[in-house]
Amino acid sequence: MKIVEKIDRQFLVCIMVAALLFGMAGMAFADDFDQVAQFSGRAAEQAADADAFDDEYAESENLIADPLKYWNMTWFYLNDGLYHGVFKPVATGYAWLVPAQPRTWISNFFTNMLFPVRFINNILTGKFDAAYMETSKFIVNTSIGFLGFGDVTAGRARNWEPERPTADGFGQTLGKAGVGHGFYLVWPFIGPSSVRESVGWVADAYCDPLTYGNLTFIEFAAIRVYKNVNTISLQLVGNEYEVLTEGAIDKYAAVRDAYIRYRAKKVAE
Amino acid sequence: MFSKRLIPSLFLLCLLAGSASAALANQTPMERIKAAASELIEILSDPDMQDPAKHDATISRLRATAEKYIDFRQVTMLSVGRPWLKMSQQVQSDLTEAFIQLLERTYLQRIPVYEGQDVEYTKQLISGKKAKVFTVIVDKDKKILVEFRLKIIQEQWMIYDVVAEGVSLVGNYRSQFAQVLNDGSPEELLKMIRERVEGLDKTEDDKDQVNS
Repeated sequence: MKIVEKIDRQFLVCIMVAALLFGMAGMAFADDFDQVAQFSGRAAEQAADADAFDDEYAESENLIADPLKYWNMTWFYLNDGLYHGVFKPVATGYAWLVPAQPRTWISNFFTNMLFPVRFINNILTGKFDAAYMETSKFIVNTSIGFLGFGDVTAGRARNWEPERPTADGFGQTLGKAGVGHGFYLVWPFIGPSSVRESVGWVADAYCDPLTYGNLTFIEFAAIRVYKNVNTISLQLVGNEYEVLTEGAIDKYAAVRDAYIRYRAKKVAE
Repeated sequence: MFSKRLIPSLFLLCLLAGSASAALANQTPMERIKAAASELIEILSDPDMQDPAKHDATISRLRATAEKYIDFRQVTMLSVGRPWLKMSQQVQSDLTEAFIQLLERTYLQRIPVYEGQDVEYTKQLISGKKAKVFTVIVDKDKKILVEFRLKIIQEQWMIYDVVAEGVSLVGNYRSQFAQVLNDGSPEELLKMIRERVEGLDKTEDDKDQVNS
């Protein structure tokens, strides 16, 4: 009996001490609470803001290494100047001179000619349905479409879409194999690239029938320039490059970010 | 006794929580995007759109609509990144306003290029207070994949980022702003955004002069 009483008393004391402590703690909390309440609107907003930074965009600040920044910037601004000062005005004049339909035929012709690049990379990345579709389009467009000027397969029922979009080059294939970009590179006339994409670009050139033509460098470059002008002439209003750079406070950084993200998306598909 | 009290209070809590999400359940993220798109298309197909005299009125209508669905404060905040937390309220609101003007000139004023492109809604993903809505915009023979990112702000799904072909608007601006904020002050960033807005207004005026 005595023991039970003793425990009871101890228990009571414990509870009292605990209650006292809680009470004091409560007062201390109340103090803090007052302070928070004084500028609760701002504090709550700041807390919510801090909450929003779950680092969804943290990688944007260091998306790719750019050790040759000044070299890259030089070529970037040269290319940008060429676009606005030469290519766009020439393409505008060309578009005024030549109706859209023939320009589309020419664009089709160049697209059709790059069939080997798409076919090989479709096979390499296991996109067999896309490889099949590319082959059938190539055969039909080259024959019935007169060397690819006409895209006779467009909009046809048999022209189903492959499960994953068709491959666009060896750079993409390398990316899929797990090869990283290395670092960012901008080439004069060619534009944004990276170590990996430059290797891809050279490999693709080997699959481009144009490089097998018996052409001098000047002829080859002229054809490339013409192809470029033709492409721009078909997208004179509100093209991606202009929207991106006109809205940018730092064109160079904007294009670098967009290029790397776009390539990442292509590698992922 | 404990559980007898607990159960009704839990029940009450569930009821309250239920009614809060009921307000949200009126519109799923995808429905929000669809509502925004149909409201924008309605303004764009209004014949007033083609009337140069009413150009400014149409633009402000577009902006008011955009602000109903896009939380520009979030867009700016996420584009700025962590330095935002150290900025004064004044700088934050100035930056937001300047950034809205920049986006308005870059994107809203371009929408008149709209020619009845089709929008396909592919799917939506919801995880907690965030959601993604995937769409495909079909423009002639081109398909553009556009992803909208939304979060719940004041009981509403609000857009805070648009990702086109893998390029995030917020991410793209973050990469530009980070550089400026690394080397300079928030005021410098503000100045640069305002200068860009002026630059865009100037080219817009030049175009008008050429056209008239």
